[in-house]
Amino acid sequence: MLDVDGLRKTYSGRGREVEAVRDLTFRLGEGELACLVGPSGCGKTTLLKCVSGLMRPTAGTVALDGRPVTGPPPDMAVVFQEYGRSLFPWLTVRGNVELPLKEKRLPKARRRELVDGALEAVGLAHAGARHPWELSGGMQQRVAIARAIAYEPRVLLMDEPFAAVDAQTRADLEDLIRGLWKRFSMTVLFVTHDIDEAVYLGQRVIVLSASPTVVQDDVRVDLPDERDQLTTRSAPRFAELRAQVYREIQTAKNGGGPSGADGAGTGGAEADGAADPDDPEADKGTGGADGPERTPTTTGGPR
Amino acid sequence: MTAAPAARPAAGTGAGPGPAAAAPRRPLPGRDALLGVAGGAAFLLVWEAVPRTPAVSADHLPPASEVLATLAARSATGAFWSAVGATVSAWALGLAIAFAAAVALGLAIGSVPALRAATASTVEFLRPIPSVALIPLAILMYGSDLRSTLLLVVYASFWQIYIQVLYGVADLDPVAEQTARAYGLGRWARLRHLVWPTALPYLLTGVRLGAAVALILTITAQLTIGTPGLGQEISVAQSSGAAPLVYALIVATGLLGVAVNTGVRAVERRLLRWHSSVRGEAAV
Repeated sequence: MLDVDGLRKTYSGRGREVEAVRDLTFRLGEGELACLVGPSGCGKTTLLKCVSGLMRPTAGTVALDGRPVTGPPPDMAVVFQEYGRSLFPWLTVRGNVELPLKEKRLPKARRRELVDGALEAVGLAHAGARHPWELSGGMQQRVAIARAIAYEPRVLLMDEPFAAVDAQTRADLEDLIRGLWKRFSMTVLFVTHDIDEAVYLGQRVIVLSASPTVVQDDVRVDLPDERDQLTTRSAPRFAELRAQVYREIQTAKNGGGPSGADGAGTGGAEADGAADPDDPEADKGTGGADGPERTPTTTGGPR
Repeated sequence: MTAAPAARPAAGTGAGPGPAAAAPRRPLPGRDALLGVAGGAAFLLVWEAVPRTPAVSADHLPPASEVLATLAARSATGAFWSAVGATVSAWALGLAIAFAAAVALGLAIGSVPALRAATASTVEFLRPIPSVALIPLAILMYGSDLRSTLLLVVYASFWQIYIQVLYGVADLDPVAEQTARAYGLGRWARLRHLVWPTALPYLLTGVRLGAAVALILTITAQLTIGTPGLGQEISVAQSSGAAPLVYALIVATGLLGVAVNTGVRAVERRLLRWHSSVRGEAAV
């Protein structure tokens, strides 16, 4: 239902061109939960912005149910990593969840129903009257997820949503996403830098190469459908899949593309060592911190 | 992976160190309030005592008790209150015009980077022109009509507000903007639900600065051009050599300034309850 075909994005500025995404083609089936991993700086965020219609690709197309995406589609919701900046501090939790529904011109009764349902689904039924800044980071991200759910999307895009929360909260949120995905039967594209998270969550893991980005591999996750933080993560098959994805990313970082032809990828590892899942430590706290600095995303591209 | 921002939820607004963050707005704790009262009383005592020494003539500086008594007597007259009314209404009207113009232009020009860049040099030239330099122009155009007061007041307070609105619009968080667009908020909806609240803390700072400047210019215009109000009363009292009355009226304008500032701050506190400068430590 979601088709990404030959997607390419180059940023041009100050006389030089940066090719963030070279040639991406993949397809998500209806109701699929796919994770997208890749080495840091590989253009995951760029890809997500193109898919969500926030940014025009330089070439290639994104299509939702065969209709090309030229702007944010009404049946697609996005959850950003920086929950603190994505939620509006002047609105209550309820107000944040409800605002997009007002813009959809839904009647009041229906809005209340959707907001109540979404807050209940993320376990925040009691927090509707509070402000986002009164909540912990994990709870704030739950609010952002509730806002996405209430929007009744057919496709849910998540851009490293748990990169800025602690490990404990993260495990809870992962299970929450699996639960919501089944309950609301959405198609979910989950971008992450964390291999374990990708294997644990997804039915499928799409591995991206280093920039300029192509699809390195597409791994089917044949773990049982019922997943559990303890048993799933200690299953031998989990370790195998994890190792497989890890190797692919290592290959990607060392410049070996699937076709072996990515000359530009050589030296692409940029001396940042192993592909440890904690890689973007530097990004930590961007969700929580205020101040003028912007998230060091891969590209300072135009919005 | 344990050092998570979950431990500091209060910082998650992206609102940043807004202009309104400069001074704490908490009500003063009891001790400070007490010190404030004591300081004020000491000031009045010194003012009372100094004219009774040979150092300063009571003709130049009447004692506090005399000035305050004059003010009390004066405030029992209708003339005084109509002067206050004239001053306040000229001030409010000028500030309102400046506010409307600054907000409309600030939002429009601030939202278009090219327009902002193109107008920056002109703004930087016009803004530092002291409003009082326009007094002859105002008289030339409108005589001693209310409009000449308004011209000065609007010119002075417009820039204060306009510049803050520009800063406010520029403070728009790209993540918040992408969120709004991803959730289908159109141009108007983003202006209303995102740009406006983002700019509001800056705007209110501008209003606070603009309100003070507007009062100064209102009194100045009444003093020099002779439009009705407290300023004109002062100049009349001066020409009749009534020093205590001059002082009493000056005190009245000071009280007006305090009232204006307190009022704007109260509005700020109320409208910015969500802002980091007002909400203080958040409970988790």
